[in-house]
Amino acid sequence: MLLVICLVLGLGLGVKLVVSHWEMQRALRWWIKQEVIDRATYADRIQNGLIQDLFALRLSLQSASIDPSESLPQQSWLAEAEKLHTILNDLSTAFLSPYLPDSPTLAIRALFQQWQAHHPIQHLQFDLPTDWSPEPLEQSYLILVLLQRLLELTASTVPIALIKVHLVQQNNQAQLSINLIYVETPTQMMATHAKDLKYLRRCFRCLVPGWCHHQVRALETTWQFGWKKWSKPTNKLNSGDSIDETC
Amino acid sequence: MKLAESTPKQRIIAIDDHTMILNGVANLLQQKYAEAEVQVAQTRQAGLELIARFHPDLVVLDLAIPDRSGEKASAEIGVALVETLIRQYPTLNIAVLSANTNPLIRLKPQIDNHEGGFTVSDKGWASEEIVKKVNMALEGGRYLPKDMKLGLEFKSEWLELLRLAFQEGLTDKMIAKRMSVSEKTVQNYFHKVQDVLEVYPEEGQNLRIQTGNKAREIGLID
Repeated sequence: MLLVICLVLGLGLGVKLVVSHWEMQRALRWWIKQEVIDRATYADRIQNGLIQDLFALRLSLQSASIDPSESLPQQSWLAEAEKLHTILNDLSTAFLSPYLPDSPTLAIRALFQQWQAHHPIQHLQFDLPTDWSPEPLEQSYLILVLLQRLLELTASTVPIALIKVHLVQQNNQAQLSINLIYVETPTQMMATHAKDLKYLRRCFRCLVPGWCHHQVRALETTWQFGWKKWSKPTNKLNSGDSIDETC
Repeated sequence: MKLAESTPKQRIIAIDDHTMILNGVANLLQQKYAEAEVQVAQTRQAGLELIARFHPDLVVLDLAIPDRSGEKASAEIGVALVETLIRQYPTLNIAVLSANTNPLIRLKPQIDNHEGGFTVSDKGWASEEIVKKVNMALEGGRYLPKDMKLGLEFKSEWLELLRLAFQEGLTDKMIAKRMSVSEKTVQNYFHKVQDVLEVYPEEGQNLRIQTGNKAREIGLID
C-alpha cells in the first residue's frame, strides 16, 4: 500500500516537474521573442531613421555649391559622415543581423566571415543551401546567437586552419555541422571553457529546442546541431502572436 | 529642307519617402542628365501611377517606402513595388537605392530573369558611386550585391553567347540570329554575364574585351 502511495506521489511529482519545465521553456521562448522584437525595432530605427537622415545630410553636403576655399572642411565633414555611417551600420547589425529576416543562411555566412575578419582563421568553407524555408525570426536569432557564443568559446584565442560550415534542411528538420581544424591542440582553451560549453549545449537543447553533439580529436572538433524548424510560416513579428506550442 | 531629328527626352522617376533624400537624388539625377525629365514620388501608390502615366526609361527607388501617404514606410512595400515593376514592365531599367538592400533577396529569381537594367546601391556609398550604378541601370546594365549572386548558375545560353562572341567573333546581330533571340536579349545576356564575372564599365576600357578576357581567365572559353 505504502509502495503504491509512493509510486503515485512520485509519478505526480514527475508530471509536475515535466509541466513546470515545459512552462519554463515556453516562458523563456516568449522572453526571447520580445527581445527579438525590440532588437528588430532598434535596428529598423537605425536603418530607416538615422542612416536615412545621414544620407540626406551627405547628399546636401555633396551637392551644395560652395566656395572652393571651403571645399577642404566639406571633405572632412563627408569623411566624418562616412565614419558615422559605418558605426551606425555596425550598431544596427549588432542589434539584429540585416540578413536574418530574409536569409538565415546568409546571416550564418556573414557571422563567420565577420569573425574571420577579426580572428586568426585561415580558411572558411561553406556548404549552405541558398533556399531556406521560412521560420520565425526568433528561432533564426537563437541559432545565430548560439553560434556567436560557440565562436567566442572555441575560436577566439587560438589560430585555426579551417572552419567548415555545413547546413542541410530536410522537410522541417535542420542539421548544422561546424568543423574546426586547429593549428595547435586547443586542449587548454577547451578546458577553460568546458563549463560555458556545457551551458551552451543546454541552452541549445532547451531553447531552440534541439539536439547537440560534439566530438573532439587532437586538432579537430566537430559540433553538430539538429533542430525541428518551428512551423510558423512567416518572419514578420507581432508581439501579440502566440508561440508554437510543440516544443 | 531637312528637319533636325530630335532625340526623345529621357524620363526618370525617383521614389523615396524622405523629402530631403528625394530632393537630393532628384538634384543628382538632374545634374547627371541635364536634358532628362525627372519626376518624383513618395509612396508606392504615387510611384506606380507616375510610372503608368510617364513610361520612364529609369526608376530609382528606395525599398523602405509607405504604400500611401501618411502610412508607415516598410521594406515589404518597396519589395512589393519592385516585384510589380518586374512583372508589369519586364524591360524597365530599375536602380534600387536603399539603406538595407537585403530584402531584395526574396526576389532573386525574378531579378535574375528581368530583362531591363537592374542595379542595387547602398545609401552608405559616395554619390559618385551611386550615380555610376544608376547610369549602369539606365544603360541596361546590371549590378547586384555579392550575396545575391551566391548559388547563381552560369546558364548554358550565357556560355553559348561567350563562345559565339569571343571564339567565333560574331556581332550581336549574328549572335541573336544564331541563338534565335532578339538583339536586345543578347545585350541583356551580356549585362548578366558581366555582373556575374564582375566586369563593370570603367573609364577608357572596352567592356566587351574585358568580358572576353575575364571569361578566358576563369576558363569559361578557350
